[in-house]
Amino acid sequence: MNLLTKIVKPRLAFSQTKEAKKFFKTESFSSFLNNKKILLSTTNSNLSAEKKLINRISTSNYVAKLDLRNFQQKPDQSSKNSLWYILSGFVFMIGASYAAVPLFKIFCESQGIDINTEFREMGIEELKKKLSSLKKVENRLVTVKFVASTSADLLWKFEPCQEEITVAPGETALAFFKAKNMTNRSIIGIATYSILPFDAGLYFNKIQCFCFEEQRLDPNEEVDMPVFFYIDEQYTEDPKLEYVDNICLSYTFFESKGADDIQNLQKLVQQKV
Amino acid sequence: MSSMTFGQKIFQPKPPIQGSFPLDHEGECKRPMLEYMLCMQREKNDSSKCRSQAKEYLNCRMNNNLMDKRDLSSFGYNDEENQDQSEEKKST
Repeated sequence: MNLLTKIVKPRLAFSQTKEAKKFFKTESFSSFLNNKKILLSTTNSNLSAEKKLINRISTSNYVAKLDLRNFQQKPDQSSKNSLWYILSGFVFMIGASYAAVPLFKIFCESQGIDINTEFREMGIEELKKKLSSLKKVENRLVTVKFVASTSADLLWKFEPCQEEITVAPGETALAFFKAKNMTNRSIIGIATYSILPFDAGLYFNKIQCFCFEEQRLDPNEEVDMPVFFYIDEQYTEDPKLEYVDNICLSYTFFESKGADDIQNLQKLVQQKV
Repeated sequence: MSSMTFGQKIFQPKPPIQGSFPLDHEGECKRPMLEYMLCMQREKNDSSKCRSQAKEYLNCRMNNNLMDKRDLSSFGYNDEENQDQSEEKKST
């Protein structure tokens, strides 16, 4: 008997007993019961049903009792569920607002957007005014190291004239690079630079240099290229840069085909259009 | 490989404030440049000690049309003159 009650106590969630009864009236289930000669009776039986029950007990082998209380959902359960959902949504929102701070920082760094410096972009006039009011900061010296490199197909000898230079923030400084064209044809080069570490690079301002503009070198010509720069005075006030005393400024030269080539390209583009 | 730079700060080069130096093809300012380099080697690459030589070089550039003429005090060199004057007063 215990086995059979297990069989007829399926783990189905019916919201109401009517649905449970409907299920157990389906053909497949009733044929199963008939085959096994199991009589299904419910706890909510009335008199007429009981009579039918007595008649059928003699023909059936087993009597199984279906406890419909298993299929009744407690009436206040659904409101409790929604309460839990609302509470968990609330907690999730609080957690998301805390998590947003580092996530936003990572997003900005990957896109190269720096919120702090974007609004601080000064115009040329302001920068020139600032230059005239530059003041040297005492008690802090920064060593700027120089690295020079060329792209593989550029046959220039490009090197810094000094390995490093010790400079104080707020003071302008001059540095030199030497470049020699080792070939027998005139080459036009264009340079770019990078500063490490990244945080220090935000304070590094170049007044004048030789980057981003085409520089033509005749065959076997050697020139000195100066870089005139200064480090912003607020370098000393940045907590991230408290122990950063070394900055590396690295220049790289690439070959450029020159402005004539750009004109040819423009003609080609116009022809196609 | 570049896709693995998520979270790393990307360096964006800024153009120089006053643009680019024209190249000194004729070597007109080679001499002040050499004097500056000698001063650096003497002073072990301390830039604050070689400011007068740097000023000479910039003057040379300006005089030979290799740099926009600009008052050198706008580059923070006005303290230089005061320092030289005070040093001269101390020595005499």
